[in-house]
Amino acid sequence: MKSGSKTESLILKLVEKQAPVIWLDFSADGILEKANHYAREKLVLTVGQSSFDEVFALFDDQKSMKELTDSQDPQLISVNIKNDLPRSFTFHFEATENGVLAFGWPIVEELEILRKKLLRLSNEVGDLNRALQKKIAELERSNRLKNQFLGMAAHDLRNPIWAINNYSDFLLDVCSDLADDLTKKNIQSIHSLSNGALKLIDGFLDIAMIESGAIELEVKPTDLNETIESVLSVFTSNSDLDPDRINIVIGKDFPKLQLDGPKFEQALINLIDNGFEHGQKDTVISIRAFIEKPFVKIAISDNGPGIPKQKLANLFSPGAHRKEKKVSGKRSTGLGLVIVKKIIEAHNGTVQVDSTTGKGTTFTLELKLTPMEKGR
Amino acid sequence: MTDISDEIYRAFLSGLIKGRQKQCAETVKGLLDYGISIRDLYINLFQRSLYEVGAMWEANRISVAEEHMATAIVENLFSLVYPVLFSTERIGKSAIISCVANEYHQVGGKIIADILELNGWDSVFLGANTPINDLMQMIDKTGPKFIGLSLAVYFNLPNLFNVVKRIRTRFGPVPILVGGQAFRWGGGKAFEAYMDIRLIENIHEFETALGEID
Repeated sequence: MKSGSKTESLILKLVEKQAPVIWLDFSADGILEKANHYAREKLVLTVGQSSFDEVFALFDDQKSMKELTDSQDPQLISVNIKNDLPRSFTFHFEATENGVLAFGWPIVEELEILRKKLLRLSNEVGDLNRALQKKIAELERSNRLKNQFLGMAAHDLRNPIWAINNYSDFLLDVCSDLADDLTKKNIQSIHSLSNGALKLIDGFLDIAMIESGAIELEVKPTDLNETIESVLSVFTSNSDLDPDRINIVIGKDFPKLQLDGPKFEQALINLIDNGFEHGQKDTVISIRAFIEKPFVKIAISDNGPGIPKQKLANLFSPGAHRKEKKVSGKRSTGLGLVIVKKIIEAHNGTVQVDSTTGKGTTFTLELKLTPMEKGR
Repeated sequence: MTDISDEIYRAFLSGLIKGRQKQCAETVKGLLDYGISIRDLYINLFQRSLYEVGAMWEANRISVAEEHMATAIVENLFSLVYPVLFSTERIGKSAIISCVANEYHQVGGKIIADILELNGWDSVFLGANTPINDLMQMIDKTGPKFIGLSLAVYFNLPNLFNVVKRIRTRFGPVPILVGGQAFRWGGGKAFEAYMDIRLIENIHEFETALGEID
């Protein structure tokens, strides 16, 4: 190529005006005298003002302008970019008549490697996400099948056990004068066991229906005082329970809550029953409802023996207390609290438990107030 | 027929080229909320825009980086469809969809794997640059009804020959379906008899082929 040729002029013009390279001319005392278009657009510099050290992000132990100029090797140097992170270029420094020329070009190969790696990572993340979503869908399918099977099995078992329960009840009536004590005792056992089995099956059916979404809540404005009265009547009418064993603290002007009344009653019955059946013979239950905006809280407390800390974590798992015997001597189904949790969660609420051994347990139901309820 | 208007499509394509992932995601979410069919979304938004992005790159209207960015955005957008896609009723058939070795363009294969799921099949998707031994192991493990191989770049044809030969040697007459942009200029049909494969030219043909596999 001839010196001063048209080609050379064109190349110079392209480098000056367009090419993504850095061309900087410094004076002998390190002040920037000239910069090409790309450098002026991208770098943090002012022609006629910025110094060599200001343009290049040199750290203390890096070379000076003279040392860089004396070195013939290209240097990897970072430069400050306007409104962005520093960028690395390969620079060549050359002494000129008036000072120093700094010529820098981007590290293309490194950028290409980085781009390919990022692309590969992006693909891998996408593939993993796909596999994960597929697995989630498979698990949901399995869960639905499990619930269907559970429901079917429980339903099919219910009829024969109900028949056993009915027949044993009938026999107890008929045999009260006719049979000997041992026979009556055996029939009573059959009746009690079949009662327990029916409760267990009903619990499984409830869980299967709730989990499968077959139960739809019929939510409407519900008076909490009336709901609790209805719950209490279950305990006071069917047994000789002393009414003083249940204390209620709910304000008279307590707002109506958006609830499925019957389902909510079932949850309360399970909790109160839990308190009595796992407590002592003189256990007292307190029910307190209060508002802590934006929530309404209903606390069901007992002064029973409390729940050991190590059992709290699995309290709402099916079968968690199947091995425990109640005050009545009957074995727990292990499903009562599971059903409570599912009913309250279906209301978009939560159940918390707080318990101290020897002092008692409090279950707190927390429901979000609707805008109408909040306004009161 | 498509429920995707030209206006929506153009805005989506523009967003892809400019790397506006959020804008593109909003478009897809809007279409899903509207109730668009998954098939329509895949064919007339995802596939159509990817073909156009590829053509723009070939015409040097966009850079390689822009093309890869657009492809990556579309792949990410598939995840918006997955909750619906993977919940379709299963028909008890499975297939493997894979890219051959050195084939780094996996989005076409992924679209096919997703169409499989839409048809109730269980797809095993092996992504870009699948080593041949990994593919053979997966075939052995899952016993698929067919194997789908994606080829985007014509120069990878020798790798395709190699894979098909290995599969035939070990697994006999298991159906092999092949497709991808490598064959879009034609000539692919000649390979069918030679390699004992079936060449698939579009999604419609693919779904028809599915119905013919026991």
